[in-house]
Amino acid sequence: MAHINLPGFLFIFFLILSCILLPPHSAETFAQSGTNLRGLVTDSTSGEALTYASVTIKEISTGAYSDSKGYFLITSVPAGRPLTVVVSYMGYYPKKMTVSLEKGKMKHLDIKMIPTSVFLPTVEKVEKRFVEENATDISLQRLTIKELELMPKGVETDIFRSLQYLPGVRSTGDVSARYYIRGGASNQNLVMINGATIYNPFHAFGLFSIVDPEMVNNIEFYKGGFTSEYGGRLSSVMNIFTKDGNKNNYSAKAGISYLSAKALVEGPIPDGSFIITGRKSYSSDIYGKFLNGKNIPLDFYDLSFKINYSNPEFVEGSKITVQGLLSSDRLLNHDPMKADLKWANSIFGFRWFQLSDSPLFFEMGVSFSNFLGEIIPNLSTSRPERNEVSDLNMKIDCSYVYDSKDELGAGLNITRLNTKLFLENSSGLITDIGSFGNNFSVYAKYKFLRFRNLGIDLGTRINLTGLSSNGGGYFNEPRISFTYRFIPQIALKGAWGIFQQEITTLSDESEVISLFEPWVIIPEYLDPARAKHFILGIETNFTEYLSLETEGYYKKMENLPAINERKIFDSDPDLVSGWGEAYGFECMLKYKFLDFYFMGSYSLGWAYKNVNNWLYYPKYDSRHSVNLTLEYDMGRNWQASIVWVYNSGLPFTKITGYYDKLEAEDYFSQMNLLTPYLPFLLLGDKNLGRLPDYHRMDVSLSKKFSIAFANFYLDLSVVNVYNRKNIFYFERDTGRRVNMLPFLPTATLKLEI
Amino acid sequence: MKKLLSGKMPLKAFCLLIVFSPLLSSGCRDENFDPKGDIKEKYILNCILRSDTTVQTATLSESYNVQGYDPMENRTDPAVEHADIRVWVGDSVYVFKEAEMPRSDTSRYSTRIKYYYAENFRPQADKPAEILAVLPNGRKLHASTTTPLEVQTDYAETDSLVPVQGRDYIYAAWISYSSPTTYFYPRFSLVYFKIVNGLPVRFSKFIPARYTFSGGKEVPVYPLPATGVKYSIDMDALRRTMQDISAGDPDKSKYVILAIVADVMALDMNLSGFYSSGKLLSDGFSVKVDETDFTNIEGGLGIFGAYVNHELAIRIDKKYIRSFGYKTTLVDE
Repeated sequence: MAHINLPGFLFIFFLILSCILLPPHSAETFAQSGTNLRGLVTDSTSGEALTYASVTIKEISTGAYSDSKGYFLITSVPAGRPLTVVVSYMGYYPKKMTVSLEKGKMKHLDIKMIPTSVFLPTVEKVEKRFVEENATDISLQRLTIKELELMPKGVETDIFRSLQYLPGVRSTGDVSARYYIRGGASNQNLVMINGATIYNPFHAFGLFSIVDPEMVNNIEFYKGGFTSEYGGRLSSVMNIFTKDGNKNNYSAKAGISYLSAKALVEGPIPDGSFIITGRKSYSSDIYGKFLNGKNIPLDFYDLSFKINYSNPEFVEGSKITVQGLLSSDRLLNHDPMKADLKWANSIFGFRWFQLSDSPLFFEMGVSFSNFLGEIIPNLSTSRPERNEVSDLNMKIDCSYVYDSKDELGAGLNITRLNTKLFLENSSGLITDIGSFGNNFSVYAKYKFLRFRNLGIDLGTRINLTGLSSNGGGYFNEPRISFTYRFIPQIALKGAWGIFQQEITTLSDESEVISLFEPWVIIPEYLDPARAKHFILGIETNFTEYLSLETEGYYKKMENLPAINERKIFDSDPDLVSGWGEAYGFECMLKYKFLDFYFMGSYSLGWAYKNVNNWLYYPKYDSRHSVNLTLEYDMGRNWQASIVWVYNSGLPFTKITGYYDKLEAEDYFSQMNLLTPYLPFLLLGDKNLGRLPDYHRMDVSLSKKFSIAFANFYLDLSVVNVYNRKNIFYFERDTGRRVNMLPFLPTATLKLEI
Repeated sequence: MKKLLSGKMPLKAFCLLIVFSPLLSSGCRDENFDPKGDIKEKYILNCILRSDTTVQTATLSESYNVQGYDPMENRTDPAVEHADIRVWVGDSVYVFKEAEMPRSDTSRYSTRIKYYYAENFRPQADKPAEILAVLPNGRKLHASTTTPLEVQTDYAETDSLVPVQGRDYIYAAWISYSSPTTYFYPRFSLVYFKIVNGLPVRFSKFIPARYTFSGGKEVPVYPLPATGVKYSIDMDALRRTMQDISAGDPDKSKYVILAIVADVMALDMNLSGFYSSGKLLSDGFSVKVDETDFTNIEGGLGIFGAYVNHELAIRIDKKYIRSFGYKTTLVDE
């Protein structure tokens, strides 16, 4: 076990302890000289938290954004005089109110925003939004469900697919919603729902995510350089925050698409609310469009719920939530000569969020995430496989905001992870190559926000024990990100950090379609994977409605586990270690004009991987990528959008000839070597070829209308309007070219009561 | 421009964009794509030394290209003739001769099968062996291996007489001191005579491990090579095989059942590797675009390996044989 840095550990331990033990009523302890204004921004009709709402105090030209839970905090507010607080949020009428604060006493505001009936951000034209000039948010995308709803729906609205419109986010085809960030593999992306890890967030071979968009309130998505409260992955972090449910009225929604039918019920409960959604596939016809006309007897469902409880008489300032997400996919062939498959997630979580009279936020969460994937071969040539992942996690996060606006954050994370992967070896015996481990990590960070034009987030994450038994002990992951605004319109942003990952999937990179990817803790014969990120960018806000973000990045990854392609015997290791490198440049232009919204992004990137001393481009390395989105609010509840996506060709391995190979199928009849041989490919150097460029245009039209007491939402989309034949892969044995989605009109109807 | 961005013009512009975008893009709907790179010239040598015969064979061929992408389009036999192939086992060297034989399936190649052979050559167990092929163009292909260790019957675990009372399967086991990575390929055969024109003719029929239903039909399931040293078949599979040998023939008395022969091949390390890399484990849905290949031929492709085989007989209960109407001996009962 590695040497433990005791002083560092003790510093963080006492930091956390002091935050935890800080009594809610000890505001005086911190001797606040100024006054703090705190608030919660919610929807007046449903009580749902509104995230990233702009809150401005006019007289002093300061303000804040509401966080992912709808809370905001403004420190050092002058007391004793009336102040005008202006709150604005996309799709809601702006709200102005006059408040007066008493010196040394925190003021809490409950701000209920009234929604407009239109979709687009008309409020933006009315009130100037607060600009957080020193926010240390490089490579961070915050998306509200309103923004996600504006994106083209395709066959099924999907949050993961929507993310692929962002620069730096790549997919390898229309078939999969799996995504690759800045040259990192898909298993380097952490996906969480309210802080609980989702190990396999996909339905149907990765066609769709298991998170029903109806359940989503907002998403925080780090493409790199994530701050010290997050760990365990090398490339990106996506935290999905779900809705709380309607606190005022009971309501129900039902929807139907080509693929699935779904329903949502939400409503108030004493001192809280609940929301429950369910989705079930009813037709498998659409899979043929994605998977080369194959008939796939796949059936899936997912069920999500969340219950909130907040009673001042129980614990003042507290909010307790219980959540669950269950998903299941079954592919049953009803033929003993074919394999059956099933995979399922079950996630349960409990969170306690606590406010106090001081500017202290405290949150504790316990979650249990379980994944089960199984291949039942029956009498097919598939090997039986069963993957069980059991993750029990406890997190504590606390943050304190000083008068100076500086913030201190600290927390701890305890993960007890058990991975089992049962495989059949060549003697027919079932062996388990999974393992068990505990990760105990602590983090601390200090955000210097005292200067209006400079923000620095300095932190570290210390792993005291590791999941993997080799080198998985003490490891320090320092992180820093900063923002320096030269002039109000231009800011320089940057981030650097070290990241560690101790689990991996047994993913075969040469598979363009795979069923599910089994997770295992990195075996003892390999070191944990590690990465360094260097990111530098410039944010330019030309006007309030026109902005340009540019970022350059360099990512170095070491000890990357990769499938051992030279494995022949059971005694050979399943994984070998490699390294990777990625660098590139991204820019994103956003422009809002009248009822139009335009977003254009371009990314230029290089990704390399080296396994067994062979350097190659991984399958997700695309040099150029362009996304253009134009949305238009046509009035009368009509909404239209058009999206054009371009990606330069992905790597593939070229054919350099054929030969007739002795088949190893039936030695009893083939040992004389004179029976017919079958053609086999001669392949060139791995991934040195490039597929043709990919481009596609999608359009969508949405309409909201009411009949009697019910609201209807109709979405009409056309995928691949000009029927571009984007190559998906090349069938090596027949020479057949398999294309991605063709021209495909789709429709979704949603009913809300 | 100003007009375009105000009033009703944006809507018109947006609609026009949607309507005309397919037309604007019609020129880029498809793109020619050639997945081939520079074609490489490779030579393929296959030679598997067998302990169950004194005639050893080898094949030599070259890689090829086709006009399109379907390799089955190639109609030119890629066999390479006039090469010098030699195999050394211990102190002995065997020179292979060229030969031809008729091809049963002429759907792809119409020429006779060309191969190389060496007579009076039965490899012994646990011996180093080496092969060298010198092609007419001077290129050399070389490989080496070690023949596997002998296999012996594990009598304690193997059934000597079937059916075994209270069991619905037949069991065989063997002992080998080879490396744990050695693959064994077992197969049971029913050995019987059929009286044809008054003379007994010997036949053998593979017995599947079991039968199963697939697509509404019953299909046999045969074993695959594995590193395990045990093997079993269902009694039902034996019963079905016993019935099949005389299916449609009302005169069952023409059949004489001798025994079940359990044949086990022990593959050497190269053959084991060749087999395990060639297993196409398809779930029917995963799509893999690159395939792994195994070869131990230096300077080319293919396989040089060896196997030893071992047979053991399992007797069948006479009452059981007679229950099918068959005889148990060639001598009148």
